[in-house]
Amino acid sequence: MNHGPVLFLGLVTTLVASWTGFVALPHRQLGALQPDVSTNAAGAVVSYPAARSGEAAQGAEVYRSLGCVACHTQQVRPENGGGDIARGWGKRRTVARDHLFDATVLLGGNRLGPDLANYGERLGTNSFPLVRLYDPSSVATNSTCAPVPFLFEQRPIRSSGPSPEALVLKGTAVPPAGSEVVPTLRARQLAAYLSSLRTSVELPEAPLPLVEDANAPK
Amino acid sequence: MNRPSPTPACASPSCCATGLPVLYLLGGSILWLLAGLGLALLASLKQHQPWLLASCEWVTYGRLDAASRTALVHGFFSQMGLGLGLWLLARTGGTKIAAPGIAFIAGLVWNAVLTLGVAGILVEGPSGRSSLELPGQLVTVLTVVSTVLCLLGFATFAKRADGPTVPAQWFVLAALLALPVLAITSQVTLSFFPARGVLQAVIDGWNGQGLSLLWLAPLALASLYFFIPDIGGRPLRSPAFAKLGFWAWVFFASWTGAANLVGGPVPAWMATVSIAASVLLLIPVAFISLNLHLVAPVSALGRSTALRFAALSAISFTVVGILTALTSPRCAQQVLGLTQFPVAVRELFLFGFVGPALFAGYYAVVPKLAGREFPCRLSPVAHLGLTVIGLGIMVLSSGAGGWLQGWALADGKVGFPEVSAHLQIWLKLHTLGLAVFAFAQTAVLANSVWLLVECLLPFGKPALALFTETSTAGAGK
Repeated sequence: MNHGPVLFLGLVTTLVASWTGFVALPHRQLGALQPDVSTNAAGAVVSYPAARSGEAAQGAEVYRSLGCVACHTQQVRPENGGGDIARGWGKRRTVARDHLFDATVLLGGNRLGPDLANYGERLGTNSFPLVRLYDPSSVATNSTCAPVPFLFEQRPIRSSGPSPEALVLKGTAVPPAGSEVVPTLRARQLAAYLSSLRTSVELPEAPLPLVEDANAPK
Repeated sequence: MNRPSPTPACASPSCCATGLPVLYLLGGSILWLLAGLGLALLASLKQHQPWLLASCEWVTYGRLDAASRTALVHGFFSQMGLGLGLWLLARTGGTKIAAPGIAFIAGLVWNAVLTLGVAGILVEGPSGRSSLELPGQLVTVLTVVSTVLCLLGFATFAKRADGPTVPAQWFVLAALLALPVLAITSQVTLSFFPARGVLQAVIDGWNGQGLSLLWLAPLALASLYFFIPDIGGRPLRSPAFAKLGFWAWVFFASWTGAANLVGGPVPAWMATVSIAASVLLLIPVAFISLNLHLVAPVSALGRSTALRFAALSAISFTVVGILTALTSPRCAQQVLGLTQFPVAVRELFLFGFVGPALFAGYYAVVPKLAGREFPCRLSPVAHLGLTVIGLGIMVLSSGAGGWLQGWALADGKVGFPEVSAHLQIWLKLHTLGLAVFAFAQTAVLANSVWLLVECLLPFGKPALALFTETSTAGAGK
């Protein structure tokens, strides 16, 4: 192997092959993916996934900017791929279409915190508990989730009375008498985003299980 | 193995031509190593002390994690690898670096952009692409600068003296060709025209694997292939093994793109191809390991710091190769993927294999270029010793913690708070290991600063005169 050109050509060929395999072919396979359009039980035409509301889309930016993805994944792995579904993190595996409208796809690579692909579903009919962002350990004992107090404002209670949005805090997190802790716009956006995370919609490539196990542990 | 006669690339007063840009890149990378490890240490502390500095938005765990990875990969590993790669091309080709002035300026820009970029990550947040967390506009500048530096490498190679090429040259060229392809592709498809949906994750994964296996690993292997025979004084046992190892490495490494997406929301064939390639990487790992371990001059380990670092690197290379092959298959990834376990493998790869390979080059090259030996003889011993201890604690704690975390997560009956609670002790141990490891690196910083002060202050022998003596005396080594 004394000749530069042989080396050069060999390397270029290898790199072009790899590029074709992991950039061009995936683009060909996934680039034209469209939302799934179906008719629901009430006869209405529904399209999945739908674009997020403005507030939730802005919340996705807050989620990205704080680096939440370092601890939280958003991918439920198939039933034979671990305990994700048994754990109640989702009713079916996550597929490519679920992330179709994400401006930045944040699948995550380490589960220091729980998977959030269906966090909105786990909330049920409750609204997002904002106190979870201010003081996570007050909601989940021993939580190692980093609190984000900078998304909240501590201010004196106004003469018109306490804000309806003020957090109900416990223990050391309680603000001094006469003050209250209220969420800022970014906290509400992040809450809207987290509440919007739900993927339990039947897709041709990812059917929902026929019988739901009501006793599935959370 | 044929190699041009050992003419020091830098034997004349014009040694600045090769020396200055290389010394600048090597020195800058040491500063980034310390900065990156400082950020990593804070991030590691925050894994188990979430209230630490919680009121400061700039230092959330996610931002620190991204900033430390960026500082280490682009500031330390890439920069030192590039400096050594350029030196190796000049040295093996019996020539000087092409356009050293441009190389020096490119190095300056690289460091300036990276400083802004790491600050940008802390202030604005990471991009969310794990292989390239820097803010978009800065990535463009970094892509241009790294492409220029790679082109200078090719120009240096083109100026080489006639004669057969050596493995170190092949590996450096492979790296210099891979980096622009990876950088330009990810720039265009993730930043200029962001791909839709999970395609982003696929390209991000491919770029990340490429940066590790086609950019950093070849640079580290080039350093090992050059310095182990050079310092040990024994030629490579088998040139045929070297060739096979090289081509097999480049081929299989380039197909591992989706190795971290097993079970993820991407077409299954991508993960399958990547798993197959990760396992088949055992072939080049075997060829390269045999070649390097067979020439390992055990008797010479005592007298050369560089050789001891090279030995650590070669051992880690073999271990990490086997570990990757064993844990890549789907059944293992289902349990160990998305835990601390891949963190352990990555740390062993970066800090056990790539880092020590580069430090072997650092300890061998810097005295030649600076014209004097490192002032403290004890410091490299402390550096290596504490590196091994710190790295050992880091890798074992992440590995064991990740293993237990993976099995607990795979069992749907174990509640998440319980999984999290059991992981705490391992995360704390990891912080301890990281602290020892970071402390070890201050030894090389202190020694380098001392060397710099000695070179700049007008006492002792003039640097150049001393260099001429050592280079003639050291030619027979």
